[in-house]
Amino acid sequence: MSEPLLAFFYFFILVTAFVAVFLEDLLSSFIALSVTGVLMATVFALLRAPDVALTQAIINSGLVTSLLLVAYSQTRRTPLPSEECPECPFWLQWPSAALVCTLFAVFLFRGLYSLACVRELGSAPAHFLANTLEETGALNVVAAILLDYRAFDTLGETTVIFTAVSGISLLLAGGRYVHSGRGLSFVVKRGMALLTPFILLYAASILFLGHLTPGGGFQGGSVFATVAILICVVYGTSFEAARISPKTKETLESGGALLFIVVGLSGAAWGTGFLANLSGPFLPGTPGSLFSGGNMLLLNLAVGLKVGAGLSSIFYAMIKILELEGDSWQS
Amino acid sequence: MAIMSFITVSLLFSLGLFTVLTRRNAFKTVIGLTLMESAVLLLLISWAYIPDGWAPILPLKGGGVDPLLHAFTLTAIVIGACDLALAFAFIMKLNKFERTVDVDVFRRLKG
Amino acid sequence: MISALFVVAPQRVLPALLAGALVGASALYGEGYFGDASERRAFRALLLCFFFPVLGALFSAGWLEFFVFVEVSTVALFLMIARKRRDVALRYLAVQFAGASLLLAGVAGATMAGIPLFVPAPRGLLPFFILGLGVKAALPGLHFWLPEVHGTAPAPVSALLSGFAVKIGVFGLLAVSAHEPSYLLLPAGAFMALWGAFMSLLQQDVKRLLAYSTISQLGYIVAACGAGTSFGVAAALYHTTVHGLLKGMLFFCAGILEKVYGTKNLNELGGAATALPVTFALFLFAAATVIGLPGTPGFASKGLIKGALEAFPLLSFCFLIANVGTAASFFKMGTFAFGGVRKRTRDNIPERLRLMNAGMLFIFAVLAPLALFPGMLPLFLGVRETSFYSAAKCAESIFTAACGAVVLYAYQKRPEFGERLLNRLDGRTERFLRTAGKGSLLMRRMQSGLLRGYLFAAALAALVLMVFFSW
Repeated sequence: MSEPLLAFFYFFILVTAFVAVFLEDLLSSFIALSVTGVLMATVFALLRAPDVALTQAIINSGLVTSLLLVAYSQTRRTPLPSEECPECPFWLQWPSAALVCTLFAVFLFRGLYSLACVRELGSAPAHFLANTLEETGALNVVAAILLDYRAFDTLGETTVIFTAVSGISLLLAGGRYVHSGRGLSFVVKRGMALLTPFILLYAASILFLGHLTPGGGFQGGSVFATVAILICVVYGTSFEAARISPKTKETLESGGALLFIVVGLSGAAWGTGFLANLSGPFLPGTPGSLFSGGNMLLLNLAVGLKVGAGLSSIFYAMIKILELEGDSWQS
Repeated sequence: MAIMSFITVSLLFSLGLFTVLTRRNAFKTVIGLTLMESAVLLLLISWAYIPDGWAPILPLKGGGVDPLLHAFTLTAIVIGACDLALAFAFIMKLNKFERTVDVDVFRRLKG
Repeated sequence: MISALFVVAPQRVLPALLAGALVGASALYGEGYFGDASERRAFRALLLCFFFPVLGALFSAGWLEFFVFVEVSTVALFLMIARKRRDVALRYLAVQFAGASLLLAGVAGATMAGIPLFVPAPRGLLPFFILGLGVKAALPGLHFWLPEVHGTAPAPVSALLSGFAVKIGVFGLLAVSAHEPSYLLLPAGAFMALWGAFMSLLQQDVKRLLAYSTISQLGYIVAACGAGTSFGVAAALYHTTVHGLLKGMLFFCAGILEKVYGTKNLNELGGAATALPVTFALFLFAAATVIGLPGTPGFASKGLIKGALEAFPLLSFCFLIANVGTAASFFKMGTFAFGGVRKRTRDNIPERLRLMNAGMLFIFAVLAPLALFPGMLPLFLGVRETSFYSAAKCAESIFTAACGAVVLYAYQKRPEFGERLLNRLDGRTERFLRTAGKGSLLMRRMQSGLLRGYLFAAALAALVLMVFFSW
């Protein structure tokens, strides 16, 4: 874990962040933002956080960038506003904002500096690292925290995803799907057809083996959503809508939430408590095999269904209006 | 080494704040938000790192890093992505009404 | 916990009784004054919104509760004024909140040091308290809002303002001053008394005349506070009570004149003595009380104040002159409004007039025992004073009243004497108030609707907090 390497990455994160902020051309700044995300994922991996690195790369660099590009293409007809604002009051121009931000950075650093000391594990993390195998039967400590020790918070997180999806569907409702779109060229289509099963396999492996290796429901579900987006791009919206209709996506999303709650309620029915794992009706299994970790496999599946269906619903809602204006992907 | 990450975090956060305060394009505002969230994530993970620690996958061959902060960060990433998606939907909807993405034009709630 | 927030003592019960009497009288009066049923309803509701915070302020043990209750009552008064004149109300609110910010700084310091009310504040905090409370108590330099606001508010609201709201400022000054003569409050009180008497003599508008007279009488009270003895405190509280009640009565009278004749201008009023006999009788009683003629509660309270200020002969002389001015101005009001040729009245509706007179009678009923038993109230406050009706005092007060009549007669001979001077002085005060009221315009401009502007304000506030707490 060499410090110069980390310093190099930190420096480049700042450089790409600067580029993303100050470039006039929006597309280039989006790509710079995506690069910042990838660099951060690398830093996370260097800092011994493989789960987080995977999630950051998939969700922040991949999914958010594609949604950003979709939103940008919906609004590209409007003229881009210039950054100067002559009639704004003086305290909104960049010098005073720069002053405030510099002071903010200084005092933030001062506050953080007072924290810098020899790092030691707190009592809760030490307990998690020491006792995860007996108490949950899983090998991935982070997944055990997310789906066993703090499974209730994960339920809340899925609620947040559900709220976001509902909000976006509500905001962008009222368009019709125009079943047009020829997709990309023949070569790309054949290549995609060869690749898709492997991507799906990759997604399933992240999802189902989440309690053993870095990964889990969020990451796997996001890759499923990415596959849906890829098929939309390559084959056209009509093809994708024919294969997995929006209704199916809604059902899958709600099914994921329901599965989560049913698993939790079975623990309650057993007498131990909501979302009880090994102290409930679930078996630990052999450590390191697929069917281990109690209810974590089912919870991963539930979360993956929800996230995957939800994120692809978001994508679908965003491109709906695009089709309404008579556009196609080629232009 | 923690100092390095603190410097990066402070600069990144204030850069995001600067973007939100001075850029008129709504997409730049979203970029600023993303940078602020990324700064916080970086802080969490760099604070979770214990020197000479192993990644929190059992069996550990030595000391481990702090897995609780990793779980928090995972949640934060997912929720951040959700709120960014909602922000995009807002921009698209406002664009349909005002035909622009200039945040200085959206003043319906004035007063 | 409630007992930790509130304290009951004679010094606090007396203003509370004053507030109760004024609110009750205003409620009665308001039934007659406001013609519209929805106006009456709003007035009743806002009266309650004013009364309960005032009680909370008077009985509070700590400065923070006092401050919160006083500002809530200010907002209630603002709403009452705003129903008639929104711009004046906004100026009032801007000035009061500017003073409240200063008071808040002082209160923050006092709360952090753990100082409750009626314990002298530390030296460094005193300016904040004096400035903040001075805005409420209309100390010279901070009084510029009073003539306009008290002059243009609806009559019952003016009664509350002049009768009680300024007294809260005095109450606060009492609560923060040390028990030693204050060489700030004494000259300030004398200046206020002289200035108020002088300006009220020159006024044409009956309500502004009464407003300046409020400043004058406040000067008496502030000087008595500044005397530093417990006798002075008792004198100040006694005069507060008496003046609050009688100023209420006078503003009610002015309101009746306004409603009956349709104007506030003294030059256009006249002959109300025969048209409104009950009002005239009550006005005579109130004017006599203000001037301090023997047999009225004002005589006793002014006697107490003169007794408290015996150690400062120069100030006593100033107050004597001020008394002459007060007498002159009330003789002016009496002769212009009630004497002389009878002017045309509007249609006055007897039932409404009866209700308004009932309000005035209510206050008279409260004041009459004070006239008959002048020693009762000081005894309540812990001061024993027996020689109220000494010959010297009676002679003094009648002499000042006579001088006032002479001054008025002389002034009548040259009525244009004060015109230009009045316009200049008044105009300056008005301009100052208008400039102060522009503070609300600044707040309006800051609410631009710009997202970036609001975010900048939030970031700046976060930065200030970070700096403040890390230092």
